[in-house]
Amino acid sequence: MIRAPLHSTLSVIGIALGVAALVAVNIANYSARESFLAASETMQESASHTISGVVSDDIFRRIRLETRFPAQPLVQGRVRIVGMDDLSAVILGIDPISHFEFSSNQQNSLSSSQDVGQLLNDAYSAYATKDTLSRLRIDVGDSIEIRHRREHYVLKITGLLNAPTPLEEQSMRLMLLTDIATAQTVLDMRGKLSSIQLQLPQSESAVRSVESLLPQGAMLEGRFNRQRSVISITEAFQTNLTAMSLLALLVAVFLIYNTMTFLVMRRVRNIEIFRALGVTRHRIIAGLILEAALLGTIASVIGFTLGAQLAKLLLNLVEQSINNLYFPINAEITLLNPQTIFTALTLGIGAPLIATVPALREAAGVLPSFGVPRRALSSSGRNHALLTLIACGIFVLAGIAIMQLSPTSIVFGFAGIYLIVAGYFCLVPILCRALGQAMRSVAKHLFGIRGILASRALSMSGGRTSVAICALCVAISATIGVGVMISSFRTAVDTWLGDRLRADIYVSTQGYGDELTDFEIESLQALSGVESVGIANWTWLQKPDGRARLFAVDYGEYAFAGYRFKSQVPEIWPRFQTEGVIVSEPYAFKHSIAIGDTLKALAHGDVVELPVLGVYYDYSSDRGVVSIHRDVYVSFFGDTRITTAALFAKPGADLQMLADAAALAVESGYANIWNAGALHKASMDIFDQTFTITTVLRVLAVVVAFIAVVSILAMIQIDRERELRIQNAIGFTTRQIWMSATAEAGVMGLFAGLLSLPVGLILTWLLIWVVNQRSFGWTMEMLIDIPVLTDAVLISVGAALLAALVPAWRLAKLAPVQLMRVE
Amino acid sequence: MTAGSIAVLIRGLSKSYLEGSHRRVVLNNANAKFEAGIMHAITGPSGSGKSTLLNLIAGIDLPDYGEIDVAEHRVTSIGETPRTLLRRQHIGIVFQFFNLIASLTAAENVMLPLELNNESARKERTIEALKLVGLQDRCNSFPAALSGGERQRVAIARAIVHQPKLILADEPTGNLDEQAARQVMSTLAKVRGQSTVIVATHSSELAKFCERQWQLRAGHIEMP
Repeated sequence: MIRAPLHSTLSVIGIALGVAALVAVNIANYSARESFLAASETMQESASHTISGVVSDDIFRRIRLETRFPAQPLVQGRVRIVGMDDLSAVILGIDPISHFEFSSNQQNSLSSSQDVGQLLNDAYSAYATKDTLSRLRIDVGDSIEIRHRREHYVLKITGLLNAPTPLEEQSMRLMLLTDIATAQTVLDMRGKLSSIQLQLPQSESAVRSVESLLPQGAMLEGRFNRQRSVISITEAFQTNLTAMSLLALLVAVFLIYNTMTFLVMRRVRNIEIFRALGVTRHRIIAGLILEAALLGTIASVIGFTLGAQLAKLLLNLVEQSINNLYFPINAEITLLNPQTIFTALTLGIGAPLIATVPALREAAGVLPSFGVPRRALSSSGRNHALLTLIACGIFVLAGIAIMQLSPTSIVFGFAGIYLIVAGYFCLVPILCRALGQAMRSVAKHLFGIRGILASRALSMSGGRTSVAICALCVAISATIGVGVMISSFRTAVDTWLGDRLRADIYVSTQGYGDELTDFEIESLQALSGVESVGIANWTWLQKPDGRARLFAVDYGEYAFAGYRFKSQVPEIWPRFQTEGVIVSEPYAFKHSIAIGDTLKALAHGDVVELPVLGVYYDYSSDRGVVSIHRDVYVSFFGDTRITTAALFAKPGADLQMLADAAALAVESGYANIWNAGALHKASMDIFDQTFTITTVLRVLAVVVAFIAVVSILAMIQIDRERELRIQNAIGFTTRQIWMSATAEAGVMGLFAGLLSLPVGLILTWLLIWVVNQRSFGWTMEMLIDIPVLTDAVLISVGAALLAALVPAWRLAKLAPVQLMRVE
Repeated sequence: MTAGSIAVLIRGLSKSYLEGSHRRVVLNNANAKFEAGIMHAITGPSGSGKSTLLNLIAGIDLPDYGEIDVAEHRVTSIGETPRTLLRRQHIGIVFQFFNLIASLTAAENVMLPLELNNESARKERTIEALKLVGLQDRCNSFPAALSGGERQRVAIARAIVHQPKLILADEPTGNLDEQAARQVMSTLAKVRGQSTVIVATHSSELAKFCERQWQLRAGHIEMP
């Protein structure tokens, strides 16, 4: 290791980067998950059940009066801190009296730390933790200006919120605890509650008695179910990130394999002598294992340190993505968790050991006194084409089989993908030779014997070149796979938004319990500039086995063109207007529903059966949506509420003026007014932000591949030093040698780029049809983005050329002085 | 080239190497005139400086002091690239360990100097050179498939194919059995006349193949 400092250093850097990527993702995932669970715990405290979905104050009063179960209302939402616009805080409004009653049997963070009844004394007063106050740069007694939409409020900090545990401290970070009236005013939710927490006895009748009081759209959930759904929501997202980070480590493994093989090859002569002197094979192998473990340990420590830094960036991106896609969290980094330490050590040390196995086999094959020549050692795999093909077949079949084992598991999906890709990479050495031979005649024609030298060196350097090409191939194919997938996904979402946002202005009530009145709808219709108004109701479909998001819509003829179907019955629209439902692709996938099936729903205590008429592409929710014509919905369920109005403007109407007029026409004050264009843009911004983290990990994989290629090219240089000295001795100038080495690296990069294309496209297909579907339930049309492919090949060639600069420079400096007598 | 003219002229040549803290002098103010068109042998014990002398004549290495003229070029006062070009055009080298390029066939190895010099009729001249060394039937064999003697004969074919003015052979038989060694020396002897051949060898038996014998002793080049 010390005798080959360049390679050892490059290997350590490569492994460290691989470990860092994995550790960073692990820390970010763990921290985000812990933060969410802690937040969830604090909100729910010791509640056995929670009523979610915005409900009115009246519901809470009825529950308290009619059931007498301990209950507390909560109002929760996010506000901006004025003067610190990049910072947002969570307002949590509680009713101190209910809270006291509710928590009298339980010790919990809020009641045990101070008398929250103080909150009743002053309007617009709030409590916060010491950490929060320090982040807001204020103290108890100070005031802080907050903003919700366009309204500004000033809250006075009247008390300190003490968290008994670090976990709860974290969950209360940037949280302002107020009384419920203040929260309702600030969050524009007068008369409304975000949720109600309940302590119910363990009996079906208790649950039923509460459920009977709930309005359409509200849902009673047990604590366990709620946590489980929360975990499963983020799990898919996190699995995807972990799989991406594994790529970086995989590339690093190639690097270690190469280093260890190189170290063995350099020492073949010494090993021969040691063996002749009586050193056992086991002892030599033990020494090499020790070296690999040492490399791995050093790299793991560096990787862990680097990973912790990278985790801060990733956590920020994860937090943004979860905030955008799911729910608000304020994640804080949790460095030392057992899972991360285990991952760093296992992979940081385990991967080098696995990557050393081929080198150990070579070392074990060295005979005393008469060692196998170096060249034979490095190219011994050349005669195993048949075995390679068999291995490739086994990997691919195993991959397909694993994916079939569980059609919904993301982990099995990724395992299958990795096996299929591994199968392809088994073919790389054979493909390299085939391409090298194909290039030979072209190269000979163009550049004579020098051309042959460059092309044949690729195939004759055997294993080593193939490893370099494989390492680059893995990173580049991942770039292609993820790049084409994101590009296809982006196009699909863009098209989908364009299709779906047919109206010009959307007026939507804030929560599922709010509604637009008939008068408001008429006022909207009466606005000058409005051609027509479509109406819809976002609510819940109660089913015997749970609930589903339901979109009861009547946007007239405009709505029909907004749907793209994956499958549909003939004459779908007439039937949609009279009898059945259409479901989104994620819903169909997660509930194994196809056209011709029926959905069972509860309406006034009866079960109604709704035929499924079509499965449509939808990227709004990975939990899925059921759409029904509003007329059908009203006829079955009798719910005439309207939560959304879609305004179709007359040609030439000023949309901004129309939006302002709509805001005035809606009296309830709970409505959001969305301009379709702005909504489209905001959605695409969120899309791009969500995939930033994927891009970061892709770049990391390419960086590790770059280091791998530098290392491998340097090793090839040492391996070919003698040959290049011969070339110099018989008349090759240093410039010719430099050009030849650089061209060779370029050809290697080109090979890697070209070989990456098919596997990259296979990866895209698998990402769309296996990972996306299993993670989120949706698929999209695969669009082959030519710039992504050409960029990938250019990156590959560029990385190889850049990586070749130093080795090529060193090659050119070689003097043939020692050539005459050196064997 | 005419017999009696000078192929290599050496004047006041000195070369030393640093070995740890000790400087070992290999050549010390050496002088010699190598007559053109004949075969010269340089003998001397191991470590006497035979290879160093050939390296200096070929322009692979540079002396501490002194001058070397080869083919009307002052090797010791030109840059690295002109030295390489001189080697490419006017010098053929035969190494003890053959030094064939493993990734090229025998014919391609031989053809390489012709291609580097951009010479015509490469194929024909390659086959002719291989015929001269008796290996015309091994054109498409890779070095790994050839015996030691065959490899050295391919190396000789590579050294003579572009008809250089000077052929330098460093212990060309050192790695061969007696029969193969004689074959190699006979082959080298065939090309004298059109080229000057300088062979470094520790074998006085093989030195007898050469018209002129030189001995390296105490850093000087002497006639025995």
